[in-house]
Amino acid sequence: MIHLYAFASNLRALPAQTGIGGGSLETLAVEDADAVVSRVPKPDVSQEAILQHGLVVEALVDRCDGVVPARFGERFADDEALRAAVERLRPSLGERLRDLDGCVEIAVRVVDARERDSPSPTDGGGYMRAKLGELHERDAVAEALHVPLEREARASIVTPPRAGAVVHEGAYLVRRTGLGSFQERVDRYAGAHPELTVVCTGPWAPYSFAAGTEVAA
Amino acid sequence: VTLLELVDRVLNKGIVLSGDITLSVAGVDLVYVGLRVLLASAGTLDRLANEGAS
Repeated sequence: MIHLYAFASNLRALPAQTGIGGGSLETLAVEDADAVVSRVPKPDVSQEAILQHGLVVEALVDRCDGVVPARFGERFADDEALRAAVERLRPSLGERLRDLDGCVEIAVRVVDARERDSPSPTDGGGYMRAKLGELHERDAVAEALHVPLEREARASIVTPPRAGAVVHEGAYLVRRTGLGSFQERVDRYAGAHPELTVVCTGPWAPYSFAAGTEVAA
Repeated sequence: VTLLELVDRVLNKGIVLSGDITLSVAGVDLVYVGLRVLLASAGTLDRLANEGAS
């Protein structure tokens, strides 16, 4: 059984580490890219396997021009089964690799951990006013942070806010050469808003931007 | 935050080729079980991550 980690373009060298279960990493030529895989005797969904998958993908980022990470759990009976799956991809793997070429993903999250001054609303009007306040805060963050970050990025995905203190959660596809100015924008916002916690992580392999390659069922 | 974010990305994002990834066993969604277990044993995983990176 073959476990797929990612597709890579212009891969210079495989990372030294082993794959899930200690199997050696291998490449398999598909279209114009390399599929990075390892052989596994049986499906392994342990925490170690999940982490190992992530570590292999992260190690690939520095060793090639473009990476399309695979979601954990992509397994194929043999090389032919993997090649056949790639052929069904729309848009094609080549197109997606070109879109992601030279780019990494940065995650930006803004958290408002302040205690609310007013007590929890006990009536409908108060509840709605509180909700409206949350919406205004999110709009303000979107205006002051997301819009400028979006300009620096090749693409962005904003996760709709869930209940709680998170007022903004976004993934940005950023050219490696633009990482400095992207970081500056985040720092500038964080500096101007000491009342908020700005969590910026990355660079990641562009996981959030690889999903568009899903095959129609 | 970083470890959980890595796990979130690995499990929930990325290219999907087969369209029928089954991460559940006996009706329990292993993705979420996995995340809870991960929260419980982040120390172990941090150690693994360091070993993997070195």
